[in-house]
Amino acid sequence: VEEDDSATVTSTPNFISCDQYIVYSPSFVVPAFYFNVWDQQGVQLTLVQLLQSGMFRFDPSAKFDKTTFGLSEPGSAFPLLSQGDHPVLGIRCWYFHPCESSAAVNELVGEVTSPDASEGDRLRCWMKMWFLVLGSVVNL
Amino acid sequence: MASTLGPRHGAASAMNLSTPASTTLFRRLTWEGTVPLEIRVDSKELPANSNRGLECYFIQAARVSYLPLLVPDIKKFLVDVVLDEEGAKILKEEDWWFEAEDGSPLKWHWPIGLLYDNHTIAATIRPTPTTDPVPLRLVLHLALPPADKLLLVPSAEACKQAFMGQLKEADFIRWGSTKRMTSLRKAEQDGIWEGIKEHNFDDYWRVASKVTPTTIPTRSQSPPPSSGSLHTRPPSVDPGTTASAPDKDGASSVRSVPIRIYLPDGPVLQELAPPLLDGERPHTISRFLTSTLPLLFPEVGKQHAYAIVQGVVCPPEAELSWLGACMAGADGWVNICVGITR
Repeated sequence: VEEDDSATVTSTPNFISCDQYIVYSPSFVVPAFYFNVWDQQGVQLTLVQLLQSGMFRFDPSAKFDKTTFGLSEPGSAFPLLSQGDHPVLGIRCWYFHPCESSAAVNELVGEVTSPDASEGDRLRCWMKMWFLVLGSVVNL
Repeated sequence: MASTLGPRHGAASAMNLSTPASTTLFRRLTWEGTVPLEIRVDSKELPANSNRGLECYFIQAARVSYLPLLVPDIKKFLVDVVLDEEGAKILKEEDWWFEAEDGSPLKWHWPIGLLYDNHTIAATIRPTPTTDPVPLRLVLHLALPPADKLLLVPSAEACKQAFMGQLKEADFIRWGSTKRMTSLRKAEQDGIWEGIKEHNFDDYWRVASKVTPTTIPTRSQSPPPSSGSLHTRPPSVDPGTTASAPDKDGASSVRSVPIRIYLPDGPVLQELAPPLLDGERPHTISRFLTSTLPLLFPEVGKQHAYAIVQGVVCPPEAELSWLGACMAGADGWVNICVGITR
């Protein structure tokens, strides 16, 4: 049974299933967050439905350039949220562009660690801060 | 096709002035490369009164182009040859999707040349491989894209965004920042994509030469690839520069060459690919593959696989920096497809 397109677009599903991945981005040398979300019929959510789903905590006053395939902050080099190939599984997923998060995380790590912290401590702190930054945008 | 050894004026103009003829030659060869596609419409989805038996579209497609850019021509073919008036009216390209030979949805956002080379290497692990080039056979579905998978919308706009993302990612890999791409004016950024859409070499390279590293011209104008390296040129050769001035925008100065490796049925691999080993010796494709895939490309002994770049079997001594400057795709990436030898 096929869903009628217009009904799928305007309704918000009651129950969603989400696959989430944290994958290393070899290009940007940082972790990146990839995900796919389906409704109860196993249909992928549209970007509009994703934004209405409560999964994200975007600043309501932020202005985004929106298409069906991505969300961009005006003036930034890469879209904030777009579709890409999962680096390991090869499947197409939504993902947050990693180069944006890296700057924020580095700043936090700089605030929180002392200059003579060990490399192991610094990296553990980096991952904690990365989750913090991710959690500010996604309801983990 | 400039091949002058003039003095360096500034980064961008230096890249435009000093592109050696051999680099331009290989870039043009890559640009003009085409592959055969056979696109068959799923007959179950043809409307009534269609000209059945004619629903197969053959095209020799540019390697550097993308499937969404072929959609207008395919649509015209369907309207002119296959469908009647009623059928043509109900065509909705936004519901179109392509099915690959293995039944999975095709990755629209990959360059056509990459799709074809993957098809070639996939054949190397089939029980009865052929060495004759066969067209890449695709099934075009006019409706009902799989709703459980995320498919790139087959619009030129989505394709452009994916393409620009790849260009910027390649820029980042080379230099650690996307400054070169983002400092292009909007008209120039749009111009690169227009060059792809219109398949115009000059329009594309007019802008791309500002961000793509070039090789160093040497005294000899003959094009064996290894003559393009920084290290083989004695400091006194180039009269226009100081003896020790490094070529800061050249192919050997990048941090890493943007490279991806594709296996016949495996993941896509991406490894750091510095152009020089120990800062001196040029990194060759053979050393790179040996360090990344030592079982397929052992350091000594018989090689169990071979590398294809832009449809050509790559000689082992080819330098990564040269490949990055001359045989990358239009999106800046060198795609190495690994076929298994029998």
